[in-house]
Amino acid sequence: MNKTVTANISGVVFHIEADAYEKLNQYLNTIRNYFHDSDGKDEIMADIEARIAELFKESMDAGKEVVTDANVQKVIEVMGEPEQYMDAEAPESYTESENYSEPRRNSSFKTKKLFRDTDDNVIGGVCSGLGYYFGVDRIWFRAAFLIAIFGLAFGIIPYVILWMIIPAAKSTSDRLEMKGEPINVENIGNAIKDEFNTFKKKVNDGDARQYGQKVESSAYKFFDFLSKLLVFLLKFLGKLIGIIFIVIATISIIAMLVALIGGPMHFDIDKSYFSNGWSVDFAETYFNSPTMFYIGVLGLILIVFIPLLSLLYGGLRILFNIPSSNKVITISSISLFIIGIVLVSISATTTATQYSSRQRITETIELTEFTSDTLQLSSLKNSYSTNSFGSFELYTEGEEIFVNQLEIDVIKSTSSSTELILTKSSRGSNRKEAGMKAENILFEYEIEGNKLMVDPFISIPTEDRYRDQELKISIALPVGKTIYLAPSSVDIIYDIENVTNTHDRKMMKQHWIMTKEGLSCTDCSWIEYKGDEIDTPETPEAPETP
Amino acid sequence: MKIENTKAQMRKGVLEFCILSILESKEAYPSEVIDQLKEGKLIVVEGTLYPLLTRLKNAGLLKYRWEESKSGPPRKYYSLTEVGVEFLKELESTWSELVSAVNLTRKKNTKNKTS
Repeated sequence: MNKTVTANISGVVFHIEADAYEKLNQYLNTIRNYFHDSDGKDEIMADIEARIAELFKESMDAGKEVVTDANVQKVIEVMGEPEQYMDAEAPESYTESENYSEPRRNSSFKTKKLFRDTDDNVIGGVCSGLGYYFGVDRIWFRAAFLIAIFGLAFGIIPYVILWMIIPAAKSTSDRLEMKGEPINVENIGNAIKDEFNTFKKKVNDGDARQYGQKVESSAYKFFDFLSKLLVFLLKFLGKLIGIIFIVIATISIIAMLVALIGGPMHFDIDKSYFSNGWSVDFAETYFNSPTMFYIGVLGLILIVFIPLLSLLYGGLRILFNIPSSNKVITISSISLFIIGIVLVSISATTTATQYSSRQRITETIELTEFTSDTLQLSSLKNSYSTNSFGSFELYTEGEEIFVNQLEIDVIKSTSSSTELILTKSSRGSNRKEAGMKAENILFEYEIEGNKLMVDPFISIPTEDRYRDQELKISIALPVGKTIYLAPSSVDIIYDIENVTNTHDRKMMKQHWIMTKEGLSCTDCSWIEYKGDEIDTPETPEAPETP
Repeated sequence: MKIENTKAQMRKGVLEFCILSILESKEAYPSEVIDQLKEGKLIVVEGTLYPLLTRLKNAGLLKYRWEESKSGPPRKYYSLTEVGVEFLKELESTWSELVSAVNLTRKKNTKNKTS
């Protein structure tokens, strides 16, 4: 069963199958487009329609009721394919077939679409298609792409993207739409003017008396103009949205590419400043194996870039009126996105299991060399103290990973000697592994007279990988001994308890004596003692001693 | 240079001449003109004739009158105008000149080749 439509062709009524009607309509539009330049195109079209009506009538006389696809096909054969018209018309423009650079004049701007010209291609015909679309000689696009490809390594990417998303001009009507006039304000104006002229002519010819009556009212003219203006504005708005899509997508893609190539920000220990780059071997440091790292990165790239590319594609389609191509692009981009999520999940879960359990081990070092009453604590790396961000830092050097996960606390010693109580801890896939990793933690310290200098970075063997290793050092100070916190120790001490609840930063450059109650400041002029009231809250506003 | 282009160009030159010749003796509607042209293989598809007829008419060489048709819409019957008759006469003499000129040139050159 087929749906039929009723059509009036040159004054004769026909029943036409819907598909056949669509085909005929497209055929006539293509020809009309083609004859747009010729004088008397309306007459030519009327003649052609009359002949088509005659041919249909002949087939109907054979006893048939409905015009079918086969009838239309036969009519097209008799009348000729659009390209055959092209050969016959305008002999003076014969050179045109060899010189595409001048696009055919065609004012129906709404039909102009971006296609790839597969007849005049170097690779995919993208440049030719763009040339037609913008009314510029395609040589410029070719030159631009050539420069992009050889000048910048990834210049080929935009070409390939355009190649994929712009459909090839397969049929003649595609080719005519491709060669339509470039879209610019002048041509839009021409199109409207043109439309108006044909309309006026129709009225003058008396061909369409029904128009004649309508045109009497100037209101009709006005509304006609208004509707055209509205259509134009809507189109313009659509294009604007397309442009916004493209701009957002392009900026994001470039930013993401820069981030990907630049690598994450890290602290350069030698130069004492922050820089970007892949100097830390992430695959070897955080992940279980390089494979898992690359799977994770690939997944992340898919998750980030697929939506951005879709946005870019959508914008380009809106802007250039690219006809929707097959569903392959949609389906493949959705599946790639899902694959990205799966890859990231795999990478994340396998890596997360490496961090599942934590183990602590404690060691004690007795500082027998230390005999004086005052212990002076400072950081071994002075340059480090310039960085007061307190941020996480990690770098690799040789077969070791260095990370600033060291904390120092001061507690009351249970014996009469000064001791360093080390608490090493690490994560691992099980407690045993975590324990082994914790044991492998090393740290560096030096003792010079009464000075204790500690390196803020602990070292881990590279094969252990970074599994959240930490080292907590508690300096066990016997009652009666004093500790002086040098300014450089600011980044290694952490939450040292004291009787006045003074904040770590305020404890710098002060002497603290260990009492039975805990650490107490001996030279802090800003702490006011009022009798037994010793638990004075922190007073940040108090002026520091000069 | 494509052979198809050259061929089409040659055919096009004489096409207008032939159309005018067909319409010289009696008026005709496009289908009749097409039938005769198809016989001489001067035209392949009908669509190409309509722009030609319109151009000749706009140039003042042809005129037409409407006639009702039993099988479909009214038909245009084309005939030559006075200008058209003059134009045709001119073309006829040019054609004879061309034919003899072509024959002469070809004869000479083919002789040269064989001798």
